[in-house]
Amino acid sequence: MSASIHLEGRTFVPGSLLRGRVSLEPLAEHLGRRVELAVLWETEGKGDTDMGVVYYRVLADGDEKAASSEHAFEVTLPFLPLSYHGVLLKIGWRVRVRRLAPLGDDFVHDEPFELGWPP
Amino acid sequence: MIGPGRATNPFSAARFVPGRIPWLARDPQHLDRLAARALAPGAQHQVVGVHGSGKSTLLAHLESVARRHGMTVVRFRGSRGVPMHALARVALRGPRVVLVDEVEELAPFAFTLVRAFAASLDASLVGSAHRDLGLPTLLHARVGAETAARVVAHLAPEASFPGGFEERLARHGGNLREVLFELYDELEAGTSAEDRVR
Repeated sequence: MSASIHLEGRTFVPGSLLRGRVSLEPLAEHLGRRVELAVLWETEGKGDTDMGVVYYRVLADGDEKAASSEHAFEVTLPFLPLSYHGVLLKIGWRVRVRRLAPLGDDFVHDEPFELGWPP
Repeated sequence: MIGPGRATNPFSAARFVPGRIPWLARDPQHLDRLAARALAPGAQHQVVGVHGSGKSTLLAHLESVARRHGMTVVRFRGSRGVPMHALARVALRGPRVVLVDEVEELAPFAFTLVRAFAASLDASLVGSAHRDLGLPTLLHARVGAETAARVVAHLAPEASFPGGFEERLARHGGNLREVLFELYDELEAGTSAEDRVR
């Protein structure tokens, strides 16, 4: 499966509206699989990771038409946490599309974006 | 961008937590062979190795294989004690496996009880430890320079490290996790490794 995520911008101010759309192009044998969309932040660095999901939606779950369509979405972003690129800790925001594979590895496609105030 | 570091770092811990990357042995059948032995009904094995040598990674992959085969899996860390409620699930019918990380963190009698419980139900059991527990050994986990290179190439496909990894592994006592953190630091510091990533 492939998925493309298009966002109306790369950097967003806290509290603003994130708009985008997801185009799904599944392989024929994956048409019946569940596909989820999430807008989330997660930490990375040398320690354990943490994450928070601010938007979640099931794009398709057995519906072949939905599994190969374009889906528009919008979500009001929170004020925190802001994107941060530290040395020991980073906070990254992403739009994530996940196709669940019950007997294998899930397909995951991320589109990163920045949440922060203008410099 | 806010912050003094890179936006992303391919050697972040979250990218190589056990089970996140494939089992990167030279022989593609290696994991299947280990799983066939480990998941046989009633089998009890140990995985022995130093910190960062892939013991928990193997357990995570065995869990994945077991679930794929419809087995009931109970996996826990010895440092957190025996989760009785989870272990009770092993009593359910059907094939089942108990996977224990950090066995030496358990009280000796607790592990003996877990083993006896698994044996009485014909469940398979695999424990990981830094020292010999007296069980048949499924794997002596060791990371060689070649395996390290495969892991690094998986995490950062466009990077190249001409010096190889033998010296780095030796410096960290065979602990691949520490080697990856060293690469993390080099990227953040913008030292030589950063120039190798495009």
